[in-house]
Amino acid sequence: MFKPLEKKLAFLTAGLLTFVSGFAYAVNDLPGGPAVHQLNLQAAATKVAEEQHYLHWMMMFICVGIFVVVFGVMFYSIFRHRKSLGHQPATFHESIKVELLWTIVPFIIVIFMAVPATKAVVAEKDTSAADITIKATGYQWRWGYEYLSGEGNGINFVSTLDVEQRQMSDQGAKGVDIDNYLLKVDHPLVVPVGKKVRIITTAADVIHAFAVPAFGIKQDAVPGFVRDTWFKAERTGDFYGQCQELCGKEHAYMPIHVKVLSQEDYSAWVKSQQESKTAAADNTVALAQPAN
Amino acid sequence: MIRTSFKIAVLLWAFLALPASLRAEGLQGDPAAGQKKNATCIGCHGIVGYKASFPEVYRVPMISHQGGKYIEAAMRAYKAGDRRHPTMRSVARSLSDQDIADLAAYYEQHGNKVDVAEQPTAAPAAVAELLTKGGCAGCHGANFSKPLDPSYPKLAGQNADYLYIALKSYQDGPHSTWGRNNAIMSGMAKPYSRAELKAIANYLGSLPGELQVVPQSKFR
Repeated sequence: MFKPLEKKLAFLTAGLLTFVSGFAYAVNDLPGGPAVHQLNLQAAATKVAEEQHYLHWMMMFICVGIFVVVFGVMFYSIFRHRKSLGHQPATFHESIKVELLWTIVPFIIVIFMAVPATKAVVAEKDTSAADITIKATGYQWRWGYEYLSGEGNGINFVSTLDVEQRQMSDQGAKGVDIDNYLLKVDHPLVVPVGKKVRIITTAADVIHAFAVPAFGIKQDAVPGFVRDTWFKAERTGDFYGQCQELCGKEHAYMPIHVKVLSQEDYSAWVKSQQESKTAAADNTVALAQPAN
Repeated sequence: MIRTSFKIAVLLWAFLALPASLRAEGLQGDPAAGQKKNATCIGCHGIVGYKASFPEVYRVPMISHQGGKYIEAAMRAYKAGDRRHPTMRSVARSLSDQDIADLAAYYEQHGNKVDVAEQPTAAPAAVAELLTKGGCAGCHGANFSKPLDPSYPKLAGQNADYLYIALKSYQDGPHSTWGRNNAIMSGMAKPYSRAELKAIANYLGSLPGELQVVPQSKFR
């Protein structure tokens, strides 16, 4: 009686498993971006992000410790001192000792967590003495970058999501197995490794937010205001983020791609950018001449 | 006789003085290609009643069934900085000339075919006087849907608040985040007061026209 049903179930489970696994493993982890089945925070690429990871886990363990102690005592009491064993409820009122204890202990724990957290927040906000300053402007729906000071001063460009990837999304992204899906842009933000980069954020239309999880930064970009944040990348590579403030229909389609290069590569990139800019300027001049 | 030929010569020179990008158009737009590149256009121009939020608040212009050559000219003006609008400039900068041509071709045929009467309902006397003074119909067509040159926009039925901001922008000239620079339109808009521009915009906006907002289908 049971055999056919069991077989069917086994068949269904096997089918489901192949479907799920086939679905999941077509895409690989993206270094500097999201990973497949990612549970933890993205791997840190700055000291600030490392500090944030430490705080995250430190507080997680404190919370788990408190949880175990509190619920342990509670369930132990409920079980050991239950009415059916003949225990009578206590009748005391207003124990100063207990009240002091349960005020002071949490207070100490909070201070213990707040000191390193405050240190980290202060470090995150210290945008002074930057080597390179870049203004990131949020537009509906792309990012504009302007190099304001430091090496590369004067470079500016707009960074837009790859059109083909945008089309894939409209078509339901069936069978798409691209690691940097919806994170590929035409002109990534390029910065040198080991240099303090200050990002000034603003927007031209509505509120956007500039965020790169691997750097541990996230800053709102508000029209008519400037805000800033900073990072100092510890290693070269590609790092990804997305707009993190709902900004309209294409909110999901304005990725941030930061390319961290070695100092030499960065200098070469700056040189090539400035050369192409001069070439473009020459073109404009040529266009301005009356065509006969 | 001399005067007429002088006028013709002036008009001719005015045409030649237009930026080269407006005149020589070698690029052929492909509507099918344009449809694949219009995701960010839809985000504003494909939503009924959508308003621009900065630098001024107004309903974004309707672009479905607008003239393709005009859309192209406008996008190039945003790119070149003759039209100042930070968001539109960022859009234009990320598009190649071919992309612009494709999008223009797409939006020209986008929407339903509408037959607009050759002559519009008569304007109120005050507005009619303003329109005659500027000679608006001379370029934009008697019914404001049949422009003289394809690079001029259709105006009938366009959002009145947008038309007002556009006219005001021509009057103001280019500033850091607003204003427009156009030899002809700046000269046209300058003599009017703001109230008169508003009256013109409201009348043009009230006319039946071909311009539409066509929302994207919910099923793709």
